[in-house]
Formats: sequence, C-alpha cells, structure tokens
Amino acid sequence: MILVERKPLETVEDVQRALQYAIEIEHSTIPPYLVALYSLGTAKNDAIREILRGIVIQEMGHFALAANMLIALGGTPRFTDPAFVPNYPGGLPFKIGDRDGKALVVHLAPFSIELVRDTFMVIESPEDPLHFQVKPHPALFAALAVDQETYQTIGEFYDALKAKLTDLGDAAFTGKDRPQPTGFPGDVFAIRSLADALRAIDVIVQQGEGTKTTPLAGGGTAVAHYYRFEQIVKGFALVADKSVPEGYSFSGDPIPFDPSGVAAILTDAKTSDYADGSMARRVALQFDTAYAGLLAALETAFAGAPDALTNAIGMMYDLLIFAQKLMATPAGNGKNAAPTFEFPVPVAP
Amino acid sequence: MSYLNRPRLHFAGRFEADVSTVNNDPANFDTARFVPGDDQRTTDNSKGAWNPRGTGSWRLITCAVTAATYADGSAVAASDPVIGMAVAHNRDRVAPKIVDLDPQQQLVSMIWGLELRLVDRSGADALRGAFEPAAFSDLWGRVPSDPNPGDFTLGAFYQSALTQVAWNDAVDSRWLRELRAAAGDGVLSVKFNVDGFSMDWTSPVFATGRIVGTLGPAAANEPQRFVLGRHLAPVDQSSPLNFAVAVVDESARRIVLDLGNALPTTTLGGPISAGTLALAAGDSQTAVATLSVGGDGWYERTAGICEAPADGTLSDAQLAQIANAPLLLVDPGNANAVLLAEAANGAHVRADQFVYRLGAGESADVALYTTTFGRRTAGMTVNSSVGAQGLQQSDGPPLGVPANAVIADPSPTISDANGVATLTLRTSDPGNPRGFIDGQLYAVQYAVDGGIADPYNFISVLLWSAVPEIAEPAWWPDLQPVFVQFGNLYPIMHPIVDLRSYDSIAAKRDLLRAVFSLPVEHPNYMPVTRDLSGAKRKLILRWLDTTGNNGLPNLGTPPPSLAAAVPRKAEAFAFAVAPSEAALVPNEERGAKTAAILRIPGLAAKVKVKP
Repeated sequence: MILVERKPLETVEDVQRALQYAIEIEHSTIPPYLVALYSLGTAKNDAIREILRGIVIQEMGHFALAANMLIALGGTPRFTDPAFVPNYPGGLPFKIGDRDGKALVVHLAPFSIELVRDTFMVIESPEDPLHFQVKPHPALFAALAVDQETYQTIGEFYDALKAKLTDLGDAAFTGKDRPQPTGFPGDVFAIRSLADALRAIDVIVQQGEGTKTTPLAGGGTAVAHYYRFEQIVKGFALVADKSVPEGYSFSGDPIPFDPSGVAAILTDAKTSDYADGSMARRVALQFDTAYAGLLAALETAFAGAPDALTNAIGMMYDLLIFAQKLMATPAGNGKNAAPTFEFPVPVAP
Repeated sequence: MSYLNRPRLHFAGRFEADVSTVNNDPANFDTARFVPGDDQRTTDNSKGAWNPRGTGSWRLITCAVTAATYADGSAVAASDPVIGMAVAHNRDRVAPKIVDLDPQQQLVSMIWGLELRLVDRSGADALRGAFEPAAFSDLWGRVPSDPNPGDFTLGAFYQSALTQVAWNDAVDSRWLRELRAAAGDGVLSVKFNVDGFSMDWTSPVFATGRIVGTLGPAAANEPQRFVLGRHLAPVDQSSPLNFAVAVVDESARRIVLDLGNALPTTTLGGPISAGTLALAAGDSQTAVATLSVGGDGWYERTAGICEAPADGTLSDAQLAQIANAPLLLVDPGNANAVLLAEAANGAHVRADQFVYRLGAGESADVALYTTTFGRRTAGMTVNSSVGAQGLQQSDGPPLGVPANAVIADPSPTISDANGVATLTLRTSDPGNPRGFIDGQLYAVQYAVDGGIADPYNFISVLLWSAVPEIAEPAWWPDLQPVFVQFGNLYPIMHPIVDLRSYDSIAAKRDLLRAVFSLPVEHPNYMPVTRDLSGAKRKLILRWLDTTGNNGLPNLGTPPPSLAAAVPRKAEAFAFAVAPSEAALVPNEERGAKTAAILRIPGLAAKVKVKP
C-alpha cells in the first residue's frame, strides 16, 4: 500500500500546498520508472517496455493535471526548487510508501522483476489491492497493514482533496481562465471548474490504482498502473475472465522477460561516480543539465507561457539520447554508466 | 560598431560540435543504393565516417570570461562580477545545432538556435541574446608543424549579432552597464574563433575543440557577420598568417586588430608563439605601432585582439596616413616583410549574409557593403557572376547547372549613398540535376576592382527543386522517398522516430507536426540539417493531417519492388559499440572539410593543408 504523510486541509492555501505536493509526488515516480524503461533498450522485452512507457506517459499527464489544478486555484506550480527532485536512493516526497516506521527506499536501477514487485507496485498500490488468480501461477502479493493515524494512501489523499474542493466550490477556481498547457504527454486537459478538477483527480487515482471494484482505470478498458505492473510480475496480461468469481485473471498474452535485454548499468549512479575528465562524467553532466533545463522549461510553460512546452518536449527526447549515450559508455567493473537525475546540476569539483 | 569596439569582453573554453557524418558522403543520399551498414563508423571518411550517430548539437562547455575592457580602455578588474562569468548556450531548450549547407558544400557550416548567455556565480543570466544564425568562414590549416594535417588542425571563425537581448538589472557590474549604454540599438556583436577539434572517438574530449571569443556592442545599420573595417589578406601563399580585420578608433587614437583566426598555433589547440609584429600604413618600413602577440594564456585572455600602439596613442599625422594608405602587418624580425596587407587601393566588398537556402522561384536581396580603407563608399561598381567556382567540389553530381536557375541582378551593381550595393538573387526551378540530392548548389562570386583575393568571400546558394502539387499526398509514393533519405542519414533519430517506417511516423504524428512547424531558427526545428525545401515541408505537414488510413496519414500502395525492403519496426538501440566498430582506430588525418578544401583549385595551398 502506498502511504503518504497526513497533512491538514482547511484553506485554499492548504489545497494549493497539497497540489504542489501532488505534483512532487507524481514527478518523483518518473526518474525511477524512466531509468528502468531506458535500461530495456529497444531490442527485446517489447511487452514490458510498452507497459512501462504507457505508465510513464500517464504519470507525466498526472503531473500536468495537478499543475493545471493548482493554476486554476490561483497558485503557481514550482518545479525548480532544489528540493523538487528527490535524492535517489531515498524516500519519495512526503514519505510515500513508508509504513511502520520503515522507509520505502527508491533506487534508480535497471529493470528487474524485483524492482517492479518491491518498489513500483508499492508506489502504485491501492488501499486494498484486488487479487486475481494467476493461471497457472500462484499469487505473489500480500496486503500490507496500515497505521491510519499518521499515514494515508495516495487514494485517500486525493479523496480528501476532492472533499475539500467540493466544499470550497467553483468560487475557489480564481485562476480558471489562466493559460494551462494541455499539449502534453498523457490525458491532459485544462481545469476550468470544480467538475474538471474532480474529473482530473479521478483520472489520476484510477489510472494509478484502479477503483475499489475493478482493476480498470476510469471506466475504460485500460488497466490501472498497479495491475499493469503486476502483469509483469505474473508474466501474463490481466484480462476479463467470466470463469472466475473476480471477473479477471492473469490469463492473457504472456509477458515474457528476457534478462539479456537489460543494459548492465550502474544503480543509483551519481556524476561523481565517473572519473573527472571522463566521457561518462561529461555526458552525465549533459544529462543533468538537460534535466534541469526541462524542469525550467516546464515551469515557464505552467507559468503562463504554454508555448514553452515545445521546448520541454524537445528536451525530453534529449534526455533519452543522453541516457542512451551513458548506457553505451563503460563506467568500470563491467558496468556501463547510467542516467543520474541530479538536480541542481552538480558543480564540477 | 562591433566586437572590436569598447566595451568588450573575451572568453575561452571548449565547444562541442556533435555533427552527424553519414550525410558527409553525397552517395549516402541515394536511397536506392543505401544498404544497412552504410551508416556505420569508418576511418576513411566513407559510409558513416567518424561520427555517424552525431546529433548535430553544438554546445559551449566550460567557457568563462577571461578579461574585459571598459569603454575608456582600462582593463576590467576581477572585482567586476563579469570577470569569471560563464558563457553558456541555451538553458531551457535543446542545444543549438551545427549544420552544413549541403554534402557538396560543407565549408559554410552554420550555428542555428543558439541563445548565448552570460551566467553569474548564482546561476542567474546576467544577459542573454539570440545569436543570429551564422556560418563559419576563413577555414584554414592552423598547425603548420603538424605532419599530418586534417580537419582537426583547421581553424575558423564565426561572427554574428545577438538580438532580443535581455539584461538582468540585479547584477551589479559596471562593465555590463557600459555595454548596455554602448549598444543603444539593443544589438550586440559576437565573434568565436574555433580550433583544436578532436575527432578521436576514444578520447573523452571527442567532438570538442577550443573556442575563444569576444562580445561587444553592435549597431543596427551595420553588417552582423563581418566587421565593417580594414580587411587584411595574406600577401602570398607563403604567408604563415590567415585573414585579419582591423578598425581604427579615431577617438581613442588606436588601431584595434583582430588576429583571432590569423595566427598559427605551435601545437594542436595550443598556444601561439610569443613575438612582436608591427603595423604600417603604405610603407612597410615605417611602423606606426608594434604589437606583442602570443605566449602562455595570451590567446585565451585576448581572443587574439590587439590594441595598437600598446602604450600611447597615434598622432594626427599617423591617423591621417592610416586613413588613406593600406594597412600592413609586418614582421620586424624579418626586415619588415609584409605578412598581411589591405588592398592597395583600399577597396573591399563583402556580403553580410553569404549562405542562402532558397526554394524554386524565391528571391533574396543580398546587401554588399563596399568600403575604401574601411569607410563606406558610394558609387562603387560590384561585378558578379554565378557558377560553381568556390564551392567544395566532390565526386558527386556536377554543381552550378543548369546555369540560369540563379541570376544575380543587376550585374554590375553600384553601391548607394550608404555604401551598400544590392544584388537580387532571382531563381527558377533547377529541375532535378543531382538526382538523389534535392536541388542544386550555386556560387555567386562578386568583386570590386583592386579588392583582396579571398576564396571565402562569395555567396553559397542551395536552390531547391520545385515540388509538383499533390492533391492527396500518401506515404507511397510521395513521402516515403523523402523520409527514408532522412532516416538513412540520421541514425540517432531511430530510437525516437524511425523515419524509414510509416508505422513509426504515424505513431509520432503530433510530435512531427510540432517540430516541422517550428521556425527555422528554433533549435528543435526539423530536419536538423535544414536541407528540406519549404515546399516539401508543407507537403509533409499536409500529409500528416490526412486520415485516409483508418484515421492515420494516407498510406497509398507500395511498388512491389520496395514493399518488402522497408522496416516496419524502429531499429533497436544497441548498448555497446558493435565489435567491428570497436576495433577501429581513429584516423584524424582527414575529415570531410579537409578533403573538400583539397578539391578546391587554388585553396589547398592558401590554407596550408598539405595534400
């Protein structure tokens, strides 16, 4: 279960703070998902890659929806504060995933089944995950206990947000006519009313966790992130199955994993891991610089200049190219270099 | 007014030119001949050449302000925050791009999409401006001692203007305030000198070189890509120096001479030998000023710019003499032998913009600035001719034909009261004279009587072929040939969108629509190489909007011969260099530009590249 620290939610300012918090949560999942995705390259593991790619794009969409909600409520999203980017390995913002005093430690690591099971599924977990039979595999995942006093799930966090927004009503949407970028990866729309905001929250929650009764996201046919990841762990697609009481089972197309398709790259790479003057150091700094530039362009785009999105999207592809260059650059001990996601850009010693 | 005026600053560091090299070989444009593997790295400049997976990105890395001069001529102290500021490229958009005009004219490579920034220690932009796209010029072999010259021993310069300049009032720098006051038109002038480029892909400095540069004020009514001043040329092919330019600052009573791309280096990207040179006017035996050049760190501190006389000023008599006699740079250690000289009659003409990309039927007005001893001159006659002379020759298709598709009008043209002669380039459809390479290249040569001979002082024109109207464009047969050619030439794109694959393009339709719609100055403009005609770009955009294939762009029907040959799936990305490539030993002895120079009659010796 994904748990986040409980915060008070009384005023519009509280809601604005909560939305900035939501942006940081949605963003914090992207670097670990991207490193895993990048590490798969393009030669093998097509089905797994498509699952990861689809999830990353939707996370980017959630990020943008949360930012548009903040704009509509009169706030200004900030993406360039030094604390905006988590330090990996480490906890996600607001103690996401922590439970019983134990931190969920998230790594920037190459793809593995364990990474999906022990980290990605924990990040995306609903309060009470639905359980589906694996045919022929046994279930692997068990529900987790919760301390409801100090923690809540992301779903609960968004439920509280919905309640407060409903309470505040349309009048709180003082920024509804401000420019809101929509030409962004994922299902992104402008927030012009309370109804739009409630719909945005449903998209975010259901694409991530599904609903309490179905693994599907938002009434469509797409499976929520938690169950998409679970498909990778089980090795089969989750499909409707009238022969079982749950209505779904992991009995669809196989989702095979070929470990030989994963790049042998460093885990939790830092620019300082690479020798001064080396090609890996040079490219890692370029990667971090492009990442910083991407965040700056996004901040501009969400601060009234949606045209800057073109610049941001261009830099996303630059990140991919730098990541590929890093992953093809030897970094010693038989491993290749890996994307660093260090922000602010480390200053050369 | 230009970077040679005060206040000016100098900076030094390294630049990266991650050029893509599959398109260096004209034969690779032939999609019928191109086979898998033709984009692999080689050591002989064939096929993929030395950097086949280049992105075209051009970056400034570790560049910092080394020295600066206030408007009154005094040196800027380290206490002014401008000293030590980083000189950087784009912050919040992709890197600028470096682009050849054409595989058959690689000697006017342009920087596009550069936003130049001065960045203070807190990371804030002290100033930034848009670098007007500009090509390098005066490419020459700069390391005479190197026994095996190649592209890595070449030097060149870029000059351009910074427009849309934004100033940060929070930065407290007298130098910045003085520059802002001097640049009343809101335009700045910038010069880059580049050399010492590494083509050794096993080196951590691969695809980078040395850059030193100068930033100063500009005037809106002056050319942006050269200095309206005193142009000095090597007197003969034995001169060890390259072209230089000077201005006479009459109020300061000094000559400001730019030797940034004129002095050879002792080693690759290394220092310039310390020595003494002298300036004379008319009479080489009577120096008006001596200059100390070279030595450790001199180049990085000055970018090769000297003020003369170093101590003191010119007398009225000297100023009068200089005003009407050719400036000479002489070698006092060798009986005042003349190294560089202005034209005997002082006449000079140069086009501000000397690289054009034109669609069939488009025209362009070229401003040619005529001067005498650096002063604008009205009524000068400029003769011109159109052909292929001066373009890089190659084994590819013949250039400059058909002859009348570009007309330079009028010829001769006479300069107006401002010393500007206008030449209109009128074009018509050249047809398809090069087959698999779109359009044709033309060289427009121009000259004034008595002007210096300068093999780089001409206009390169890429004239694109006309594109017939297509009512319902489809992948087959209309777009496939265009996209496959780009896909073959730019393998770095494959993981993002494989331009050889209809499916890959259809899946990225929105992205492609966005980048094909950007202004050409934008660093994300597609194609990066800017060698797609406007007519074809419009056709692509129109096709991307079609929905004839179940909502996706029109597919059409493949000819049977090609249907099987086209990949449906994007090419896989490899994490390791292919063993065949890993075994290659870098060969820096050549490179496309050196090869090109060697093919130009009369230029090989001038630029000191040994055959």
